[in-house]
Amino acid sequence: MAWEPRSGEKIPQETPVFITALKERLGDPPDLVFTAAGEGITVAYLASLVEASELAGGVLDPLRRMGEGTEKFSWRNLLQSLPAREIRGRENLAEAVEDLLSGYALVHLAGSGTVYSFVVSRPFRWPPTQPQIERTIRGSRLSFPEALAEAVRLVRTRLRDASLRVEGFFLGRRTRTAIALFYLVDVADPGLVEEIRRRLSRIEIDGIVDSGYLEQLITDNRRSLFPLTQSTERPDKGVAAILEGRAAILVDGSPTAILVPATINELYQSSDDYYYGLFHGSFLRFFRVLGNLLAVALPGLYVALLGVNPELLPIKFALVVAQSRAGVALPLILEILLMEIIIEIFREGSLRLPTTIGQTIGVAAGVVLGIAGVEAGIVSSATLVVVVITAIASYSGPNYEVGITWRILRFGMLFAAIFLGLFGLAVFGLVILTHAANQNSFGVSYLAPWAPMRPRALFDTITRRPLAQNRRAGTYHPAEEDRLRLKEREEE
Amino acid sequence: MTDGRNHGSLAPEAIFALLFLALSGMEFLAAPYGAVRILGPSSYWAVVVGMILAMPVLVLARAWRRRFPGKNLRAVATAALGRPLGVIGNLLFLAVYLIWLVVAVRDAGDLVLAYLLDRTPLWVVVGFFLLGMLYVVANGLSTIFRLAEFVLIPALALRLLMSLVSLQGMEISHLFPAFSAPLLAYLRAGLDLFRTFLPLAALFLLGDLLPGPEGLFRNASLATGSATAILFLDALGAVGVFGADLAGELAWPGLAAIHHVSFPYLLVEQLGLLFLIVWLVTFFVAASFYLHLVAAGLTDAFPRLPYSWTTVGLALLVAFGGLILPNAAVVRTIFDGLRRFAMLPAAGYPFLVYFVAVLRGLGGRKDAA
Repeated sequence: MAWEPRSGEKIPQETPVFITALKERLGDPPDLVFTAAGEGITVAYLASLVEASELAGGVLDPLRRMGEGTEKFSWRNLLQSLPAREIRGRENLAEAVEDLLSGYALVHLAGSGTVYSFVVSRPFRWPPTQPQIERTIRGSRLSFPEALAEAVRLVRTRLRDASLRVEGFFLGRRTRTAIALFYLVDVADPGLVEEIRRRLSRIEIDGIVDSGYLEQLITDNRRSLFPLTQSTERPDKGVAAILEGRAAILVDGSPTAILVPATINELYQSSDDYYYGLFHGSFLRFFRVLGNLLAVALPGLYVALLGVNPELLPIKFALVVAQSRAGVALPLILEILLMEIIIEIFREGSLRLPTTIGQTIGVAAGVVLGIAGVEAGIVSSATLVVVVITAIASYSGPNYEVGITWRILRFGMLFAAIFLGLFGLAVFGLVILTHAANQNSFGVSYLAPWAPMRPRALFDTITRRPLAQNRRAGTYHPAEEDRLRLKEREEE
Repeated sequence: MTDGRNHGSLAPEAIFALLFLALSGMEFLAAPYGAVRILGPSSYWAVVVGMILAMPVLVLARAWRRRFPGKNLRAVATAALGRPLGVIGNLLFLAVYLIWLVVAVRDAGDLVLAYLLDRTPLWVVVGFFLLGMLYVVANGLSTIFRLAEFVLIPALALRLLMSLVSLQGMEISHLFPAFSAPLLAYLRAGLDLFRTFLPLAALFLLGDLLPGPEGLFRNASLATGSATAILFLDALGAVGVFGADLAGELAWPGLAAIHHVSFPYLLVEQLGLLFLIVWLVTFFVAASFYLHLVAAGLTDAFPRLPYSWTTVGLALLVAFGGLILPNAAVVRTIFDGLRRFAMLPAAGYPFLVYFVAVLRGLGGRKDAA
């Protein structure tokens, strides 16, 4: 377990035992490489973390040259022959594994109980890019690189734990796309990992071009409107998910990782909720959830209250809104439908505009068209206000896919409100909720932790859980629940 | 669609959620109706008496879970009473729920028409109700439980708020004298409100889905207690605002008490109608639960019946039954009839089955093994 002291296992003297021990410790990941560099000399390293030229020039070549010579091999000779670099002697297997995870190459000599670690780590080759969708004020400015090797390196540098398992797959008969599955072997539910492997292994397709393909192929229900997996472009989010007992799947050529299982609750959480204090994080999250509710229900509510159940409104307010609609050529229903459709077209169009002018054109078009529409009597100012609030609120959620879901459902809500007012909204809302209640993501209820209810985990829904809460939420059935031990508690 | 059967026992929280919604979703808005005619101003005590009368059902549920773990009413009744009697008894038991569902759906439809959609035909409202319920029950009990758990916290909070709001404008004098009738009248009034607690008898149909006896008892009691508190506040509000005489005449006195409250500074002035939506959600979940119970009970008794088509058939029956009732007065008469002639026998049926089973030495450790 995580809190137990590291095992005092010694370095095995025999080469096959050493190799087996390392493979066992790291779960035999695809980037763990063993190279023979002479008689009885084995070099072990994680290919995703080391610089190949450094390794060849600084470690492997000198070793091989020594092997070709007549002088008897010894550590002293070896160390003298290697270019000056950071070198550590290790007699403990756990320490050697930590070195390996930090980008060192381990040199093992058959019959010796010591390995030497040579730093050969390399810098990132991928130019750092910022997340495009999941932007945060605080926290990492880095997004996943498209090259899988770089992405693996990124995760490994952020999660230097021997329990991190990286499993490799190749999918696509023609593309042979490399896929990497990440999870913590002592935290993730073994059933979850087995299920992911099963779903990946049953895929037979000609090509995987993006992680979006994979997402649709491994999802629990392809006909669901809701995204049953979570996509992220943020490595910090990916690592946080792995620490929670979830799994991350990365696809070569795609900067978007897939996180499973996913619950609807996860899709409203932003990385920086946890980077701020409890109250700040909770405050932000609360308004994010409120924003999403507005994004889904506001146009429907507007139509229901104005068109079908105006008796609910205070008379003064109803009069003001009615006045603003005086002279508008279109009926309320057509007016709001037209505006919603225009906003959707705007949104899609502005995505393709060059980023430098996109914002300017978007704002200018919105303002100019809005004012022109009101002045021409096509839309009322009240409708314009509702549509603009809805459009802005729909960007409050960090997950783009679920945002699209709500945009689709917003039209459903609108029609329900047109025909049956508040009653229609309630029935349609319940149908949506029922659909969500039917969904599972890799064995976890999509509505968890609300349903099935996990009272402790409920603190991490509309509000944020205190970071000092030392247990993982049971939502994902983690094999290890403890995650934090503060020193003060230890002293107590 | 599934076969409607679910595997594995439910979490105690799920039992709490569903029972609370079932108790508060059915007829809550009409709570003091009937009792006020018997007790007058102090009719709110009928809620407490009703709850006390319902407690034996909970005690029996715990004993049942201990003696017949994993067995539902049909299984034990068939073993204890013999197949013909057991089947007939269970069908009658289910029929009570079905008739109740018919009347409740019609009542809810009338309420929606009266407060929200006065120009819409009844069949549209009933139709949408049933289509929504069919969608909920299509995937079996687990979906209903999840739905209940998801809406529990907002429903509980808003329902409580709704009851507290209804106290605004209350005339304390309307509530006095606090004991206005003879002792036996309280018992009669309690029996009148006993129907509100009939969802508790549904526990006997859940069989192997129920959690352990203590968890079941604790959560079912908690749900009953919470629902009773809210019902008590509703009754207090209705009688306190309108007085006993008028509260007895109103079709939905609880809602009327909330409806008359106005909050001029809120965007939505008539909070009562907004709260009506909250009630509709709880009613929808509760009604779906009953539809599932009857459908699952029928397919359990007649395994050849497909669950999905049974739910559709029952929904059509509910629609037909609901729509042929001519008006709210007839609905009330049927409610009264149910209360007098069906509710108590329905609640007594599990007791009868249990005692016959005990007398015949069924259940217990030997059976559990």
